[in-house]
Amino acid sequence: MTAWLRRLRIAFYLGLLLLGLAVAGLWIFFFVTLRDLPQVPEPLSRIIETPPTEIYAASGERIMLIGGREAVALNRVSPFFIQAVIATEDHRFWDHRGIDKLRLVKAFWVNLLRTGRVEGASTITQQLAKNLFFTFQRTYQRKLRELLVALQIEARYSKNEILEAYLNQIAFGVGAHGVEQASQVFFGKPALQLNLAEAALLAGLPKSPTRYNPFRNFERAKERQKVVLSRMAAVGSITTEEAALARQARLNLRPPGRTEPAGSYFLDLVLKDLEERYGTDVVHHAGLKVFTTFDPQLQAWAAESVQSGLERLDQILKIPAAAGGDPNAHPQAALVAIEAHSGAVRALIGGRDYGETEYNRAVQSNRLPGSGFKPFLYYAAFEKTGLHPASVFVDRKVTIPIPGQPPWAPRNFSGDYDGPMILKRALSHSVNSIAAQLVERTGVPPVIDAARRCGIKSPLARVPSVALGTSGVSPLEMASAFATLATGGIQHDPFWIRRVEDSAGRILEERIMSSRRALDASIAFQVVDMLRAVLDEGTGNVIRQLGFHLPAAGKTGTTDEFNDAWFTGFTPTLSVSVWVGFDRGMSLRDPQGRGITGGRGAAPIWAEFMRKATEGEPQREFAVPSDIRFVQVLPTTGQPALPWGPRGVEVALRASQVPSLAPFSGGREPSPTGGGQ
Amino acid sequence: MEDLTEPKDLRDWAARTFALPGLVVGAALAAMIVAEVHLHWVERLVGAYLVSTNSDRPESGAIWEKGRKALSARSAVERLASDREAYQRMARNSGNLSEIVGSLAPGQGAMLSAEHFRELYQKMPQGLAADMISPFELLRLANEGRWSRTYLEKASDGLMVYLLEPNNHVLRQFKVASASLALLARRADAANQTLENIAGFQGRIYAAERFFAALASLAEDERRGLVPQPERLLEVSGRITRVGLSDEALAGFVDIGFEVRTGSQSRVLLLQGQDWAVWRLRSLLEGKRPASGPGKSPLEGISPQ
Repeated sequence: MTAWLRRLRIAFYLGLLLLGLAVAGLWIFFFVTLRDLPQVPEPLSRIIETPPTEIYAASGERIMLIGGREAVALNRVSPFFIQAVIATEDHRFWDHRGIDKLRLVKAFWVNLLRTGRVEGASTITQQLAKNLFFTFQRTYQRKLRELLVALQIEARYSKNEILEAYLNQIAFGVGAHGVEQASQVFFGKPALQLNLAEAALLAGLPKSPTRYNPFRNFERAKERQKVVLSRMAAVGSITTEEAALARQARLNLRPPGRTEPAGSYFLDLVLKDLEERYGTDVVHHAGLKVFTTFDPQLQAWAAESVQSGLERLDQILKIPAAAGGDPNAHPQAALVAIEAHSGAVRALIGGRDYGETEYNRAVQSNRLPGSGFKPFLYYAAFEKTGLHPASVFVDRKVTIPIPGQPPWAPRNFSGDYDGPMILKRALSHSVNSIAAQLVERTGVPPVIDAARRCGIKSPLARVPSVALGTSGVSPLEMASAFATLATGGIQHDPFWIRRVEDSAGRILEERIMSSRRALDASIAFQVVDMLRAVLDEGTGNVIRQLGFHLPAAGKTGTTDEFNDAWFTGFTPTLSVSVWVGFDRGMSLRDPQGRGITGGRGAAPIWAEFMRKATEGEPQREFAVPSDIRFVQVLPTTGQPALPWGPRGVEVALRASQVPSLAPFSGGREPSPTGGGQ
Repeated sequence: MEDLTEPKDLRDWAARTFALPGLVVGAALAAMIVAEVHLHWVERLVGAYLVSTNSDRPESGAIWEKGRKALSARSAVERLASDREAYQRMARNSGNLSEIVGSLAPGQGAMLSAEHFRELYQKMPQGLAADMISPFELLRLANEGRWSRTYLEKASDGLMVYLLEPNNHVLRQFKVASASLALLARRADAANQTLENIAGFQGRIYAAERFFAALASLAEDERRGLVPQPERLLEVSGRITRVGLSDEALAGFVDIGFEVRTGSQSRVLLLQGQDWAVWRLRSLLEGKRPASGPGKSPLEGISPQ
């Protein structure tokens, strides 16, 4: 025997041995794998049995589904979509029994020979098995287990049952699971009504829901749609002409604003609250029914107002639109609208774009309110010291000694000092030097106490400058605290969940809208009357210029380096706080270096929102307490204005304060209708 | 028998490979492969085997995990809902406020209809009820028609009562202090007790004959002030053996306990008398000289509520 023949013989027997070992190994591997292979549920439709948690707006409209699936029978899905999915994902679906062997060989060949290219060969059944039982970890064992489960599913269920289960659990991105939900989210119609172009677009998404999200990357999604249509034509589901027509067909995507769950920042707040109370599993798996205070119409107006306000701000700051993508390149905004007489949060915007950043600036962000905090100072001063809106202070350079620290020398925003003026004018023109004198006279604790009584819960530093807003608060707190002023001193805690029911409709909890008297009604009204002047003639008069004319009160707030711009204001029924600023301590300054104030940055958003929110509403005045008298006084002396003398400023005084104005009070009783001015 | 020998050379190898047995084995193999490609018998066999062993395998994987979470979540919610229903049922069936309060843990609450609360209110001692909320205020609210439900919430230091309109806005809210709740509880417990066992009567328990003799010596308005509803005593079956006067006054009223004996059983009926009249009687019972006129009670301030 020649040497090579001997070698061949050895190789043959060695190969035979290896083959035997491989078969034995595979056999053992099969049974080992089998041992902890998961049980397949019976029936397969069990995958969609969990009832979803449903969140409802105050109007009764359902605004979000969590968990669960909106399952549809196969005959309620557009045939175009079924064909598109099969053509794209697994065109031999109807022929194989769980594995597409030809595709497997091809994928093996490609993966082996073409380095860097990975070709999958998962059938629809394998994908279903993976989604139901396995993680997305890529291991050979996982792959084998997935394959075995696929074989079992094929052996137990009909092709239609498998396809139906697959279509009802597939992820399309943007929180849409299952074809029915996806069809509603992207096209606002049932899955049965999808046309060829729409079906092809949707069928292309599961490959990479984020990459092909048509709301963000329409062109990419369109390219993917073309691939799907080509596949459909290639496998004979449609003709090439039909494919060409579908490629050119116009896609009527649902407006982006309506795609993500409406008011996502609000819903985040609701979810977080629910999870804290009931636990994550209950929220996601127990099928709760949650009735919220959310007003979809107000929310839409809030979103529009914030969007247009931020665009205007981008123009002022000369920030190019191309800077998009980096959330720190643009200023952010937050808006909270609260029903004054209950504390119900009706609309909430937590940032420029929820898709870009989910950080909820309306609730989680504590920013310095600046002069927006002054109403609490004025209230505390009136309550503690007996001062009133006609009391006169001198606007002058002040230095407040602070024990153990350098003296505090606040400056006026304008840099000028205007001499003597009444407190009403000092507040409406946001004069810092007078605010500093007031806090010196009143003391810090009463100011903090007044803010706390109104509903401010964030930590407040016990320093005089706290009265000028040097401790951070959230827009939610500001809207809530100003609502206490709007109601004449009745404080309601803000809330967003009215009632929670289980899936059978049994009530688990319901909100009792309790309140407490936090402020003296007459003093609160005096502050409200002063805050009205902020809009009518003070730092917030842009509100009136922008066409909002209903009775309202409010206060601007701007921090020293123009990092924050605020406007918080209210009508007798609605309290709204708007904040504008950069996330990372950057100044809001235009290219000329001029800073953006609350009046310039936040008040226009407030005005636009309130104009829409109150459109068609009757004129409602703030309720005037019975002991309030309206008196015309001179703005610099606080003395009564004489009919023949210079024009006075109307101030609201308590009856006991009127006689102190000698010699002529000019007092006026509140009008029987409750009209203030 | 022919000896088995291995092929000697390549030709021998080829000859043996393409001999009939080799061809048959090859054809059978090829047939199996073709049959598999067309009929998928391997997949069917494995699949059928897996179906047959399905019930023996573990309930593991994402879908089962989710199922377990759903199950535990639903049972948690079920517990919450049934607890709440139990409170509600108990509240609906309660004949007095102290029963409701006794069954609630701090922080828990029960919702009642406005009518049910009015019934409970009527059953409360006059002074305590008036101290909670004036009957005229309640009448006004009931008459306005907005008051639809009442929410009772047990706090650590008493009971919060919220009178609600249909949208759960609070029309009136008030707190019943722990001391008042304790009084209510005492009244509820008094039925099957003797006077000694009820707090507040020690040292002020008198024989019935002595009490009624003193009562008879009072003027009519004083007697009316002391026992405003004597008909309740007339309804009692059994004999009143002893009478106790409480040392606590609440909103101008003082508890008077009448111990009634029926056979070998004793029970106490609690009524409320106006504090000034009770003081007058007590002065008589203890042989002190009574001060004149109503509204001058030495009991005032003893246990201010």
